[in-house]
Amino acid sequence: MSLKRYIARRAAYTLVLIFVIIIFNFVLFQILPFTTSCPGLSYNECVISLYVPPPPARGGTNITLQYQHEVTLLFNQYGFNRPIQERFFLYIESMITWQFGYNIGAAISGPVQTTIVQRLPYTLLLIGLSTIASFVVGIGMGVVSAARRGRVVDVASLASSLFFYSLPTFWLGGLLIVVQILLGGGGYKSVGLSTAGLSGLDSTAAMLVSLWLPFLTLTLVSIGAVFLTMRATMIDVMAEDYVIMARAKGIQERAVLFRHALRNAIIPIVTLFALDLGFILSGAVVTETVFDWPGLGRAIFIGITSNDFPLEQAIFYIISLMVLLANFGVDVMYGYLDPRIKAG
Amino acid sequence: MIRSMRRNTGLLLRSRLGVAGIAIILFFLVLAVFAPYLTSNDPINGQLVSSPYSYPQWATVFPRYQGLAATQYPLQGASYASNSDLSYWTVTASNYSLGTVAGLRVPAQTKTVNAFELNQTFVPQASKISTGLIPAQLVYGMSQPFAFSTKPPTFFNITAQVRLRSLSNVSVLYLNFVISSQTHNYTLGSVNSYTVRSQIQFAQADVGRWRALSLSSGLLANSGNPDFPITAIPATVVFAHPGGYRFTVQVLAVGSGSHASYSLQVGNLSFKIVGTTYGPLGTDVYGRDVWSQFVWGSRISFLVGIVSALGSVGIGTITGLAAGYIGGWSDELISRTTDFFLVIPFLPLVTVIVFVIGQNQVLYQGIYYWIILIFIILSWPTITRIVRSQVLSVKERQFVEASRALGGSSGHIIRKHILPNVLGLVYAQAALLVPGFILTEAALDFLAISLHPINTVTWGIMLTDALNNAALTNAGVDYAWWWFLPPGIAIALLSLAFVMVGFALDQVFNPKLRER
Repeated sequence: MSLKRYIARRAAYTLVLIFVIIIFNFVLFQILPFTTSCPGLSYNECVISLYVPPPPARGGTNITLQYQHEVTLLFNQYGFNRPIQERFFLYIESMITWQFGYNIGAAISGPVQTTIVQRLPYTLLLIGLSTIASFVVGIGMGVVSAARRGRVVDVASLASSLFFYSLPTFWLGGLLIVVQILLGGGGYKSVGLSTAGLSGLDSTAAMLVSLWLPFLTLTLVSIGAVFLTMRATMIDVMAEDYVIMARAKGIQERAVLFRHALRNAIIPIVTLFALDLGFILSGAVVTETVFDWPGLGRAIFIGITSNDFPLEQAIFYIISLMVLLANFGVDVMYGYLDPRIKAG
Repeated sequence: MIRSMRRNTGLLLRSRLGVAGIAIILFFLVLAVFAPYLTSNDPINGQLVSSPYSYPQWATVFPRYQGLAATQYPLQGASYASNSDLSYWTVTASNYSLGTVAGLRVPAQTKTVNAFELNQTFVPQASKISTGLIPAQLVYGMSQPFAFSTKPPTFFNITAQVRLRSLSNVSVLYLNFVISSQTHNYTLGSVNSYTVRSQIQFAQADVGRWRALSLSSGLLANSGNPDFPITAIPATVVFAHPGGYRFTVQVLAVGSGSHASYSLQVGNLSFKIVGTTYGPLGTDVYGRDVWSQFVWGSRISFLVGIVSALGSVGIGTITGLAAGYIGGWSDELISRTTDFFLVIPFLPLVTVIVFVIGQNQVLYQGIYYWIILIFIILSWPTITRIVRSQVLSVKERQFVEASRALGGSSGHIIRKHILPNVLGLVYAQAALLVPGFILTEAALDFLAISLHPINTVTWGIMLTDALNNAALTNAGVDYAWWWFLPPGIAIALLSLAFVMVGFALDQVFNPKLRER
């Protein structure tokens, strides 16, 4: 089929998936918790028990009134006073219009939008930097390894990257903290502590210092996958005819590697990145929790532990959107690159 | 099929990577399977087998840890099973008989108890002190010497089951335990025989009843004894120097009349000196044996990793075959479903589910089975995709076409042509899935399971406990390295082993990777 039809088909399909995700989110965050967490209680009773602390047994009328007031507020603000079908449609509307409502629960307060906007830059900084670093190092190591296959460099690179890939992320984080202490660098200070009272450049510098260990952790764990894929692809590519031809023409080995082989080998890496977004984000959740890095991953964790369903809904939705769009982007790119699709 | 399996196993074993991987897996498998025989300590409830944060026993080779006291039971003949066990004791008393009794039933003890039984008659002394009280007189003593050769311990403990069988002309009977160094006597039980404040006393009302005694060195600190300043740890004061010590059991009595007698059974008398080293891997913050946690924890890792991998691969292969071979609407259906599953963020989703289940105490105790289920549900699409594309490529090959032309049925084609070419890939993928599951399970332990109490121990839980307690902050126990490092290394090694096996399997089934 032609390119246009292909893209249109993929776009429509992506939209369907987005809708399915929205429904799935609703079930996961607005139905599941309130039906399984409180054995024996009804749906509404469960909601109340999770968010409004019960009044003390000998509270007196003032306290009871206060309690009733809070319950009413909870129900009205978050729509629990409406039947579930109506809430479902309101929810769909809110997802489409990106009106995510307010945080609920004991941990974070305020509009969800603010929470996300405040935390997104931290996560982007951490993930962005570590992904770039792991790709640069992974690609470099992969090329060198493929070129010197079977020799010491190859075996050493294989062993070390496989080893780091097999480490539990939170363990590696803790280990690096202790190593830093033992090397005399002092204990790890999370961002909140290290930037307290500072502003401007000082604050940024302190934040970067706090960024170093989580960045290192996430990078080390991610290098493995990139390195292995790069190495495998390079090995395949280097056996291709045009590489042999380039060598026969007398082109220097380095130019053969980087200008001919690498260019073709790099395409699967890009798809790897796009498709592995989910995995990278999972790594971020753990790393941010260990180092108390105030990003979206940590927000997910806090949201889960305080049953903050508006926040969780929003973040899940955004993450799924990003993954879907990344997949769609890859599909479009392959549409351009694969002549079978263009020829229609 | 068997012939090809044998050939493939041969090829696998020739690969060094494969052999190394299999060796490591076997090692941990042995640990997991033989867990009950490798350790007798309860990993979850067995608190204070030694002091908290005890170092591993082998660590004493390092100069830093040299001379640290190990937990020991220095008394000889502690089983009290036969009279020969009594030969270790030196008795200073008269008019007594001492024997052993085996197999006594003590309420609240599951195993039967061996005791030594002491019968004695004595002449009560008559003198009174100024307040009109008759002092207790020491009527019986038995003692054993023992050597203590390391640095001071953290505490010591004496436990016993005691029953007074009869009492005649005695108003109060006291039991004392004394530990004597070259210079001092330290008495656990009462301060001195001239006061009536004693920890262990028996009167007529106690006849026939079993009493459980548990005296620890901490009692010395509150005894008003000037040897123990407030800040001192009693056990460090008592065992301040290596050398010879003596353990003594004393009976003191306040009698009346011209003859007094009693009969006392003392069962399972146990004197434990708790040091700061224990076992192969020391103890955690609650004094629980880390080695037993390590060994039992390997079970969950294996269980989750392997069962999830098998389940995903099983379902994924079937659906992949269906999608690839049958094609048409089943392919559409299956492919769309896999697309949906591949979009969901894995770890946050599982964390949510674990946490939600965690709030329901009943469901929660089986949480690892839920985790396996969720892992399978979320992972089969990956296998499906791989199998499907492999089936598609094999389907178009010439030998399949030839087979069909010769009249081969679908079942025959699948069995003889497609499956053998697909299974190799599947084995490799299965091996590569296991480390992912093991690592994700550890991450889940860290994120979700550590928030609720649970009656199982896994490597992930061990790591989380270590991180939350000492591993990052407590330089005084050297960051509890014996607690923090082994589970992490174990997870890494086991994951690595499966990756190596997967790698080797890949090489076996994909000849292109083998030569060149």
